Amino acid sequence: MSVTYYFAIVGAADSPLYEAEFGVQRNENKHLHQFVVHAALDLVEDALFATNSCYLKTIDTYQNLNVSAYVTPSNVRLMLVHEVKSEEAIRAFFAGCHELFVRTLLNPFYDPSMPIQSRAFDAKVNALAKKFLI
Amino acid sequence: MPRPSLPQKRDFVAKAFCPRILVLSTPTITDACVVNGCAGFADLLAPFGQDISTQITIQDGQGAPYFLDKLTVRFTTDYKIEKHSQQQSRADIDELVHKSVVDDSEQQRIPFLSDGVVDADVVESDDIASWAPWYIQFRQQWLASMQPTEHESFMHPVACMLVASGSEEDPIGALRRLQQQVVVQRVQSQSFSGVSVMFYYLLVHDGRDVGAMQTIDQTFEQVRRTFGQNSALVKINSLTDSAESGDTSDRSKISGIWISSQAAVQPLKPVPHPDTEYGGMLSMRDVAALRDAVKQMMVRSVIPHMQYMIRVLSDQTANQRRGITGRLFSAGRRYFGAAGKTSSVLTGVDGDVYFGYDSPEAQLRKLADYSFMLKDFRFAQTVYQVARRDFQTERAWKCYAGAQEMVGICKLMQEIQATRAEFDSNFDDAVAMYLHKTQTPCLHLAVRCTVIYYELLKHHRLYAFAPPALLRLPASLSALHAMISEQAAYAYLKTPLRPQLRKFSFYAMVASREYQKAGIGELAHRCLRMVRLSLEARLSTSPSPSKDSPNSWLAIESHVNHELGLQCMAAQNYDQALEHFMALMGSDQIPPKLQAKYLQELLQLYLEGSAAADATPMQLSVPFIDAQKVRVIMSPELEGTDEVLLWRRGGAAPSGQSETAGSNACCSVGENVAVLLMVKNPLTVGITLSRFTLDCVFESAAADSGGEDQPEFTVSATDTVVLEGGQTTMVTVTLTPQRAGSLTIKGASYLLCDILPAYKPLVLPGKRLNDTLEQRVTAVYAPETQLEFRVDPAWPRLEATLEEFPDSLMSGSMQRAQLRLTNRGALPCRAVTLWLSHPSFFDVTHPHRNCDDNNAQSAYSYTDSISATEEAEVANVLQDSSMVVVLGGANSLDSAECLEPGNSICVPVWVRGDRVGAHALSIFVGASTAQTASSQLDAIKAVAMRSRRFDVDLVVTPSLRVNAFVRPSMRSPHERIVGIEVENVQAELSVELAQTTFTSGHYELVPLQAHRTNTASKSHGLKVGPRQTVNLMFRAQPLRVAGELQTAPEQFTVDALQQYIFNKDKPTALPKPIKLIYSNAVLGMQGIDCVRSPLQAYILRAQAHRRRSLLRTAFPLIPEEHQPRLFPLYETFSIDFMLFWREIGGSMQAGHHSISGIDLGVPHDYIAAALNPPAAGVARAWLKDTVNERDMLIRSIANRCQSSRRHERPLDVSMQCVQIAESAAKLPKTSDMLYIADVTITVYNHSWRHKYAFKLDLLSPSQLKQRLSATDIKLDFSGARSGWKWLDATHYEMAVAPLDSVQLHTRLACCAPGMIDIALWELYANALDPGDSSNISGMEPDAVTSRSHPVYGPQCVVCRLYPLHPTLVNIKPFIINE
Repeated sequence: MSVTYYFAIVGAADSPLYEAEFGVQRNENKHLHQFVVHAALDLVEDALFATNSCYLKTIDTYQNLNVSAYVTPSNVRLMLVHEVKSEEAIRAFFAGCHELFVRTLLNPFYDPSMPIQSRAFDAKVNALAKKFLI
Repeated sequence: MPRPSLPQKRDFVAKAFCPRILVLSTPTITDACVVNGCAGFADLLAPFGQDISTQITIQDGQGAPYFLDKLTVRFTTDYKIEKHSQQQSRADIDELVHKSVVDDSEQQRIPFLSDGVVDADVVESDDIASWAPWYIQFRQQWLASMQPTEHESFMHPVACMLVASGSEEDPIGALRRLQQQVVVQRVQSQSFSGVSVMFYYLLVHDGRDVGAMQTIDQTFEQVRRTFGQNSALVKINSLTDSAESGDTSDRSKISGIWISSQAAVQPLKPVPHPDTEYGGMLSMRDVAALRDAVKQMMVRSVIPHMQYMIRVLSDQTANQRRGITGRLFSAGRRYFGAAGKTSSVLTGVDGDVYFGYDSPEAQLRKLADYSFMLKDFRFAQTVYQVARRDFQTERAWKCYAGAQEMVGICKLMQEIQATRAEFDSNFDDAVAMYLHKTQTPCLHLAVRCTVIYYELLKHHRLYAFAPPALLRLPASLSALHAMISEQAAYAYLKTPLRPQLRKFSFYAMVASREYQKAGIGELAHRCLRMVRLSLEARLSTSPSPSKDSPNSWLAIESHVNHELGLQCMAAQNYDQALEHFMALMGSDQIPPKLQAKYLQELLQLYLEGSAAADATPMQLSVPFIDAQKVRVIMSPELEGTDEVLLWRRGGAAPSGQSETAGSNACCSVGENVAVLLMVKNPLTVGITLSRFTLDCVFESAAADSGGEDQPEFTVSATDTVVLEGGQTTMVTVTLTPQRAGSLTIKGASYLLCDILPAYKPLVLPGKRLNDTLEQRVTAVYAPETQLEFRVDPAWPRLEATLEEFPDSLMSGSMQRAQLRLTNRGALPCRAVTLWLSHPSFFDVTHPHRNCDDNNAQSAYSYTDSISATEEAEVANVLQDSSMVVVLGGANSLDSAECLEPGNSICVPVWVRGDRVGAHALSIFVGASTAQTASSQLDAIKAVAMRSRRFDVDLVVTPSLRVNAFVRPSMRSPHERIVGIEVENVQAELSVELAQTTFTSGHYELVPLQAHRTNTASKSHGLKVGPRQTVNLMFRAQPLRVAGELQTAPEQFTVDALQQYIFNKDKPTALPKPIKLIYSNAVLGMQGIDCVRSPLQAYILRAQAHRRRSLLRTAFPLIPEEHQPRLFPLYETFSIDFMLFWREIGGSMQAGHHSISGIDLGVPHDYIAAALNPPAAGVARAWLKDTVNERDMLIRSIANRCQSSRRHERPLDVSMQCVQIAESAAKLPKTSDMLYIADVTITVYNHSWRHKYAFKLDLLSPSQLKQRLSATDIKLDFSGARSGWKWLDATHYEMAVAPLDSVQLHTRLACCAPGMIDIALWELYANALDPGDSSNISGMEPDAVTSRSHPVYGPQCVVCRLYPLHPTLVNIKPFIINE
């Protein structure tokens, strides 16, 4: 199945802290995914007012790409570009990633506006993706 | 183009859906129009159909009156329902977009985006239309070219206008003929107007036809009579002679009417000829007449006709519109009236279901459309809603979509604020139906719907709905999609609250991509530029600009840059393209494949563009050169490190300058300077750099005048540097300055991949300043100095090379290395100085000028005439052994004052393996050109000198192991036996011992056995084979008498130390020279001169080094600079030993081992005496700290005195049997003889300082038990050995002077001959103060006195001594010759 997921953690300063692609990797789409997520950031704020939960569900679509968002209390946004809609799986994935991110924040050497380069984090996020998405 | 005001926008929609009138004219009329520049009469009328101010009150569908302000009508010449094929409509759209764009593509201005800022005011106030004028063109043209369809009556003619000329023979006939035309029949049969279409008859009088002038009124009367009220007369072409028209302004005004009308309605219609004059034959009156005629037609005929139709239709369809009955009726008809249904449902040209024009459904639609045309939107909406329901039940999707569309439009046309749900769903539905439910997608209708909706949204400022609405259109048409996406992007900018910049940039990117696909490069580029600007931009109104965090949306950034670069390349704008491509370089986040691609493209681009652009090097981010890590090295061809160091006497290593503000590196003229750069490739693909060189700026010194023709400096270029992905390499570039001045490295230039000339500036901030408050609160940096160096001809340039330095040595062996010093500078070098980290490893001897004279002379000067004992006076000063002045200074090795330019000297440096192990040795060579350098150095001042530091590693392997041991001599109490144990620890090589030399101030050492036994083999000394051990024994005997020792070094130390501790003034005097006794024992063929050869200097220096390190550990609290004034180099009583040897076979190395300070175990522990305060001159200490410090010093010295020295014997007793005589009297009752021996007892005082009082008890073996039971001494005096006894007094109380002896004479009696041990005594010694001979025994260290601190004295002040070794006496039996 040729599904592609693009996952990004966008910091409070609107720059990506972490990016990952799951599923079938299509190199030429990288910038498109990033663009879609970047554009969807404009809609996150609007979507925030509509709900009380962190998970904002699908907030934007472009052609066959859906963008789901999850906003942490510190205004760090987890964004997922996906083709298949499966709300619950994505909610679980986001919750897992949120926890991983909070654990990263506990690291005293990590500055919250720094890109996350931990390989362990990457591996865990990939494991989560494998569990819930792919 | 004038900017449309808001109400006009709504008008735009009304105009799009305006009534149409079919105009048919006779050929005569057409001719009359052609002279006015119009193709036909419809064209002639077109301007007057715009905004006819009708100003009438009419009734709406329910009969309520309302005021119709103005109305637009459009004139057509043909009516035909054509099939829109999918392909065709696509092609049409594409063509249209292209046309509209090409017209206005020059407008590249982006008003709302400037560098980094989005101007919120402009965004707020500006209309979208002005941002993309081509869209307006497209929109107008699109709507103007709409074709009639079967499902709506909008494009169908409401009326037919038949035009005939008055000059025709039979105007009525002509009109009738017109009425019979195919088009009219088509209108009657295939249009919503049907048979009830209204005809309007117009008789035109052509002013040129003068003949018809009289009959025109008559003719018109006839027409009116024939055709009724719907007829009119109009006169044109009254200007028969164009020459009459003097008023050009009138002409242009009249012409302008048509031009502007055409521009507004059909902007893209090709202009026939630019010089075509419209209305050339028309006077102002004619124009007014035409306008009036149109208005009259509308007001008198068309509008009433439409009103009539509305009324009629409204009545007919009233049932359907009214509540439940209507619905029941329609439902009933649906289920029961099957016949009616079949008759009304038809299939249209494009295969869609539609209704016959006389069917109730079509009538409803017609009613609604007519109401809409007359701007009765409220009524129209209700009718559309009813019709929509009917269409839905009949599954006539096209009709349904049309009704939905119109419902939405009606809602928005009424000035009521509607919520989204109320209208957006209508349009959504409509577009979806048009596109997906109809037989063939009605793309043109969908586009029309969207365009209209978008216009209405803009009118209502409901921008939030616009983008989704626009994007409902299919993306398959690139050109259309591009335009639509662009509009959507703008709409995002206009969203309420804040512009959604990121959405804007996204859709601008999409638009750019689509424009690119459609082949409209200019717009694609414009959109992409907007993307790039908006990505960097922030809003001008945003309160605080967020901190400039680097934008890390790398994929976006690189994609945009890449696309921009490609576009610029396509547009042959190479400079810009390069700029964009260079922005791509340097990020390692981009996948390698892309990096390689980008690099390739960049190079290709450069190759293409270089023909046009001149080859100015560009600043690239590839590779990365860390300016922090740039190192400048002077004279790189020489070994060692070049530094400027502060030299000072006192043993410390030359140190870096501490306060060196502003003094940067300096080099001499003509000296090579290597610049090391760390070059890193940030990409993951490999790159090559060639012709790598440096860009420098030379600033000539003011004084420098000569050599103008010379280049100021030369720079080398590295050929090729290959960098793999992520690799870091060091690149060396050599500079050679040729003139005085200062040279600053500005940057590096290179060819990237052999193609692209690039330049890399090297900029460093200097030291962060921290002096003033302002500097502390802001980041202020000093000017950078690291990449700058002076070129000073006066700078010393001493070329120093260390030659023949060995890697490894046998311990003790000496090997010659040499230090070649050449003055390459312009000025003589002074104060050429060496500093050695391990002075005992080096022997620096007299330098010689002839460097090539390399006859390896030996380290030792061999001579035949070596006397066993030599005396020499040496300076007993503890010199600084680590610094050696070679030239120009006090105590320098060479007498010359300076080293002249161009001259060179060689300094032989003998390297000796002093200690076994691996050693890291450093040698510093310093020189200065300053006149005062050497004198300053002598005056113990710090002198900054240019230095070169050599760090060499030396491995010393073991060769011999030499140990010394001391035994008491049985012969004499003041003598000691010194044994030397020599072990050859090498596995293979034999060593011959050449000479032993003892050095002492007090003792002479005589070998106990003659070593030169074998005179035949003189060439060999004492051979020590591998792993063999040889013992050499020497007798140490004092040479001097006590009186000579008053100025001994020991006394000096005591005095100096006492002064140092207790006095305010530290001692300044240096110890006096000492006379040393050299006791040589030549073992081999030739002796080695230690006294008068250069070796002595080395011996002294090594001794000084050893002694210094010894003192450093012994007295850590005494600073090193005070040591020479406290301690002498040699102590009187210590013995130094040197053993010279030579290898047999092997490399024939020669060397020597030395043992310093052989301790004979006699008390010369005098230091403690200095700890007692002197009688006078004690400095008063006011501070507690000072007192504490002094106490601590005293205590540490005292501890050392007590702990370090082993047990000492101040006095020694030796006994000698002088004469044995048979007793005169035989013992009674026995025949045995009694033997009487005279014994001389010598008590020797080893101390040079104290006189000792002693009590000597001689013991007899019989007394042993009781006397010695208290002690642990176990002596075997049993049997025959105990058969003797002291005869005379056994208790003596005497005193002995320092270094003196006392003799006693006594006797013993022995009963039997044989060997007896007579060393049976007990000595109680008590030191006397040298001054007053009083007993100082009470002043023991432990004794607590009333004074504030304890009194320190020598350790063995009071001691009890016992014999150390037996003194055997052989009592020979007498042969009695009786």
